[in-house]
Amino acid sequence: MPSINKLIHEPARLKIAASLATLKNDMEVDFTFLQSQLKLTPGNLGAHIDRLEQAGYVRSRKTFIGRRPKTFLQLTVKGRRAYEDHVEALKEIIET
Amino acid sequence: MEITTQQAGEAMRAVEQAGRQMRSKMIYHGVGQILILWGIIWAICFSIGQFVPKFTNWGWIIGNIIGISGTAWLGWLSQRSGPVVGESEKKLGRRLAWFWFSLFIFADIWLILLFPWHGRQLQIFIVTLIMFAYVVMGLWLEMRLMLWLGIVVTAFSVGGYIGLSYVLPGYLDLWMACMGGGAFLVSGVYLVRKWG
Repeated sequence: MPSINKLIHEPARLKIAASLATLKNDMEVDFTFLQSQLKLTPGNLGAHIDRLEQAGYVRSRKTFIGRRPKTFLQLTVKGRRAYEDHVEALKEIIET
Repeated sequence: MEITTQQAGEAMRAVEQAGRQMRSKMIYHGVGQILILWGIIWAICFSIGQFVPKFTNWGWIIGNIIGISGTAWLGWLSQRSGPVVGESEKKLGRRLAWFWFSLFIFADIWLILLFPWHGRQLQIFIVTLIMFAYVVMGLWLEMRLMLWLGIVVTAFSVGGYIGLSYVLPGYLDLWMACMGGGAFLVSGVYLVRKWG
């Protein structure tokens, strides 16, 4: 039975997971874009990403586009499953 | 961890909103610039047809060359600088390019089969065919704005083709420059402001 995931349920992390979950498995999103989309500071988003990475929910990849450093993020399989379970748990609470 | 129904509802709304915003940003990124480009081309080429009709064909040939190469360039730029990367994204871009290429091939076949036609019929046929493609793209990619743009411009075009022949014959090009080109421009500016 799906249960509430304390790590994902934090409002900013829930939005991060929801945004990343809309991408297909082979897709990654730019860190700066996600930051502007969710209206978070770079430090704030970075801290949440660290927590999600430590749990094995998010994978980040650093690269260069031209001379500019870029960081791309994606949900791992474990992260997607955890997010989907969390959403299921939310739905169950709403329905009961 | 215990949460109330109200908290769960708020969390679900946040999830849905974040997902919706992300999807919109992904599908509309770079589209506004392409619509603005075609809005300008339509406004200029239809105006040429209205005011200097002897240059209509040349106007459209040059306009289409600029439009098609500009669209390819903007599409490439948008994919390169886009917020999302991945093989699925590239595959979709290639599929869209093949969709438009096939549409133009079929349009040529239908035009040969339907010959003879007169200038106005040809004009409205091409416009409505392209708008049909917008409707298909709107439904296929869940791009509501493209769907409505396709429907509205088709309504303007067919309405102008039928209605103006009674009210203001000879002003279809000007009508299309304002309503067709204008609809593209307004939609493009809206998308650029909202989604970049």
